[in-house]
Amino acid sequence: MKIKLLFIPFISILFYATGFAQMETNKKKHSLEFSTGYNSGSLKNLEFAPIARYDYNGLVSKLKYERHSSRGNLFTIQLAYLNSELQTDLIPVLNLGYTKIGMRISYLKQVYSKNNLSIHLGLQSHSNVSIYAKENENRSIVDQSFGLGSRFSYQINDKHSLFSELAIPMVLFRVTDANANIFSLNRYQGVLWNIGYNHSLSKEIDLKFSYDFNYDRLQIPNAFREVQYQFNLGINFKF
Amino acid sequence: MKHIKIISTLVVILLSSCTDVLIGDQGTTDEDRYLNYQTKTDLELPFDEEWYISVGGRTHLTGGHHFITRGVGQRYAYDIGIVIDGRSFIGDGSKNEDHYCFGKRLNAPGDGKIIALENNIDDNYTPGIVNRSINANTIAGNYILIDHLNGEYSMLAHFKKGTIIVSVGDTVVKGQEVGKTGNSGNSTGPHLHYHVQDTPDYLNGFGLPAQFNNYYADDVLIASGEPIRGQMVRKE
Repeated sequence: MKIKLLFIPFISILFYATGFAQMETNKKKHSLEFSTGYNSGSLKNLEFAPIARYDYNGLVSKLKYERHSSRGNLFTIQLAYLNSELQTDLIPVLNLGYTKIGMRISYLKQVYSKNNLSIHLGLQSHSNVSIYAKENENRSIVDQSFGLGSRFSYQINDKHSLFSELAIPMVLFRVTDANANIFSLNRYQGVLWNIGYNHSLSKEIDLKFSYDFNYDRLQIPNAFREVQYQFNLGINFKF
Repeated sequence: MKHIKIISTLVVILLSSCTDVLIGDQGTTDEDRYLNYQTKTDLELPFDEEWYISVGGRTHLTGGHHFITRGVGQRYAYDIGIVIDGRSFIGDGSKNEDHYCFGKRLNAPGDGKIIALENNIDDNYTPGIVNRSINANTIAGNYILIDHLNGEYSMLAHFKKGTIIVSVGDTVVKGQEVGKTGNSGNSTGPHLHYHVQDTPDYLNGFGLPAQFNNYYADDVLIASGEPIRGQMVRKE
């Protein structure tokens, strides 16, 4: 039922977009994208619970604003929200609610553009608040990472294109209820990878399908690992 | 349709095997200890009279130390005080002496040897406020660490300054007086902090479940068990 409801706005927008298809001819500088998708994740946070692996599933929603400069550079800001439950069959009494709110900001400079292929490289900031909800008390972890970002885009034709983004965090600042620490690459490794397909419905509206892979790993006594696979469907308004 | 099923099955297998590798198996020992660990030491509650468990238990709700403690020995730690008629102190509780447990006798919970202690840290002057002098090296306040000579080590912490009456190297027996309850270190009020860990190092090891023998929990005799938050407990 939820999935059916999700598609209603997309179908409505599709009809709306078709009506506007021939109206605009100028290249748009701004875009606003809303996407939602299915998240499948696993988490180990031994500081929090003696569980080698929690699994969690749920809907993830994202809102992204992007600005294209006249030189082809990209400024992007993206908000993401995920609400789920950490689950383990081994010790079910330690299951608990899990919410993640994230914000990614990046500035990518166009370094290559030829034969329908463009490559952007730049810097990225990623902020994350993870909330562990137990019976009547919440615990949270705040992460702030900085790293390198990149985007590869390939225009197949006027309507179809492929894209991929790769970000490697270089340094992480983590605040928990107990402490605050900075980790560099020797103790923290992460990757955010995204690949997708873009279909232009009109000059104003694109439909996007993407797959996201996120991984974080901290080499600390309170071992932390998290992996997420996300399948997203989004609509992109250009203005 | 058949092809879609095969492809989706392959994708699921690929993703799940990736997840196994990426998440790793670190923590399986923690799980095993949680599920199966049996305390080797013959432990008894380290106090006389009836006390109240304010932190203790295996769930996130009852085990208040879960969130800060892997690697510092406290996952299964207890915080214990005295509560009478629903209150832990008389008057307004603004002085340590107002608290029922302050200055009460504490005993060795099991046989062993004293391998470390601190006895000279001021009690926090005002309950609810940790003295500014407390740092990462003094969060336990005045404490003793007992080697039970079987891979288990008991830590009792937050003793009243100057009240510890055993010395490093002393052999203690279960029930022997070791000091008095205080409010030293990272403590927001007079109480006993107790946990069992697997190393002899100060707040550096993995916590172990501590099962006590022969005690009453809410007037029910327990032959062997772990007190949990909210229980009134006393020795048999």
